[in-house]
Amino acid sequence: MEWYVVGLGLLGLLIFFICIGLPIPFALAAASVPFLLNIQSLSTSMVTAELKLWGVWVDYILLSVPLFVLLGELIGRSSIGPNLYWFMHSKVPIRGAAAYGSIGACAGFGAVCGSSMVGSLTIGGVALPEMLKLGYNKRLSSGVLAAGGTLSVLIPPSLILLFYGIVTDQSIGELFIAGVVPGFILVSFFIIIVAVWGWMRPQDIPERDSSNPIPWGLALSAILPVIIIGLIITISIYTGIATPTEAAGVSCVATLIMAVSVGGLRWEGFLGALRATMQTMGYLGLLLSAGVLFGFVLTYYQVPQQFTELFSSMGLSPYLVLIAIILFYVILGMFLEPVSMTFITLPTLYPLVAASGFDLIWFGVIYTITMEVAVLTPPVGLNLYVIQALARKEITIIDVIIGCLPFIGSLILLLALMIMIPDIALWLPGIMD
Amino acid sequence: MRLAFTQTLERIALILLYCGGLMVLIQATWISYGVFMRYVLNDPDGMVTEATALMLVPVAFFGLAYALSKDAYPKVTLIRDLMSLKVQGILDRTNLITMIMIGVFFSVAACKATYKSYYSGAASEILLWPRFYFWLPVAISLIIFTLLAMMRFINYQPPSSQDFADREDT
Repeated sequence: MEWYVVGLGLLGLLIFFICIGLPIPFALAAASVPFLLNIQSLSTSMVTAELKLWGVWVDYILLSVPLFVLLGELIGRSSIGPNLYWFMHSKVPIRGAAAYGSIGACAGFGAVCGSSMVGSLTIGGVALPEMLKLGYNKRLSSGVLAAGGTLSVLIPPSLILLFYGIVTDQSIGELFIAGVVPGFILVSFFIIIVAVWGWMRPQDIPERDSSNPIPWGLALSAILPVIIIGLIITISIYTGIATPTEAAGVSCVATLIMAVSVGGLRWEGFLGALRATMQTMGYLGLLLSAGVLFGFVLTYYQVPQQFTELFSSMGLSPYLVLIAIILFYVILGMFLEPVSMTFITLPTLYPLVAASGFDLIWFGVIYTITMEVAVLTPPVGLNLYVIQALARKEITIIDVIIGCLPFIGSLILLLALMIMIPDIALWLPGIMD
Repeated sequence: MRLAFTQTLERIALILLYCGGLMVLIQATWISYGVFMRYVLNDPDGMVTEATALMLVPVAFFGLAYALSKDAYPKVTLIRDLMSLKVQGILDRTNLITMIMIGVFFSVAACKATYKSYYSGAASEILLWPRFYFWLPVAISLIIFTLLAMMRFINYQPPSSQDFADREDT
């Protein structure tokens, strides 16, 4: 069978299964198995599946996935996130303190949690009702919080960067460190957007926030865990003291201790965190297992190599290829969630990026930013629905979408900046080397 | 009878889930201990890397059946939702059959791997821990998942116009 027949066949089957509502991990497996059986007999295919499952899961780097997921769930179920938000805007004598505080809390939360949805849910759950009560415009409030959640996937630890590193075989540590400067730039952009919004539509932000002052003890119980866990992760990886998996393990234990001792985590919350972690792993377990079968079929027929050669033979400018890939992801992101997209598309596309001469660490950050756009664009923008679900009666999904538009604009601006000045992402990993 | 069997499977799924949660906690603690031994006592633990990596194999599958019982797998239902209720019912059944077939494929592969590793005595590379220990929970998780998917297929109730109206309201 020709490579393009296999490529188109796999793609066609996958799209068909996804469109009829088959869960994505099963769609990936169901598309791969017919081609696998075309290559091998059923019993050999079983052996291939067995070898691939063992090979992919006995992996020390991959071990950081459940650890970072658990870390985020523990933090999300403690009072650290809500208290962090309270601290960030309590008695801050500037107009729009609650909106700036939300961005600060999302960034701080992003330093300890790698999931954008958990970030939006945790900070949004406490900040959205309060911002609406204080008189902030509903579009501004929902936009700030939906976009703020995306900071979690750029500021390390980031689950998307982790999966990207696993698929493309890049250093997870370098990827995490590469996300730091773009993360801070994005925080600055978000702050500027709120300031400009307040300047252009002063009626959307109340004159002053009448929030209660946070007791110092409570403030410390929110800041210290974030600083300690954030430092454990970034400093240990940056200085090479620990691998990302070790950083994940140590920070997970530290999080558990702090969430129980100062974060108000109770037994039910702890069990809930375990359940949520294993539920996520249940999905990832099958997704990655199906993904390796999909990858095996692709590699057997040399689809990624031939696809790359085909694009290279067209003589397109590398930047044209890059823009095409970014557009592809932005459009695909409207329909698929980031983790599935990573395992379905990246194995075929990253060789093309490498062949175009781009640094794969740099592209990892570019990819993550496009995934942030993906979670903010309808119809399958996860963060949009998470935020709307928090205030279903007051806010419509259209309000959240309109509120997110300036923030999506800032993500696109960051993409453009990253393309013009790649050192934004590569400077810190360069020093690390 | 059918309900009791489904509830039993869901209970086993929950037990497997907590087994997985416990293993993640063990992994986190063991890794932290390894870092402590290396830097504080200058006596690196030679087991931690391979042992915790091996434990990841069952952890990856322990949550499968629970995720199914909570309908937690991501899916795109935009097109399905546009169809008539009858077509939605057909698509749901088709999807469940496909999930069962995928479940059977992986279950058989895992059972064969368990059987082979038990009789061959295959072991991990450094610690020489029998692979059988790690394949067995994977096989059990996949079998429970497949059985649960079968029960969901048998117990399947097609979407009614009332469900449709409720969804429109939300």
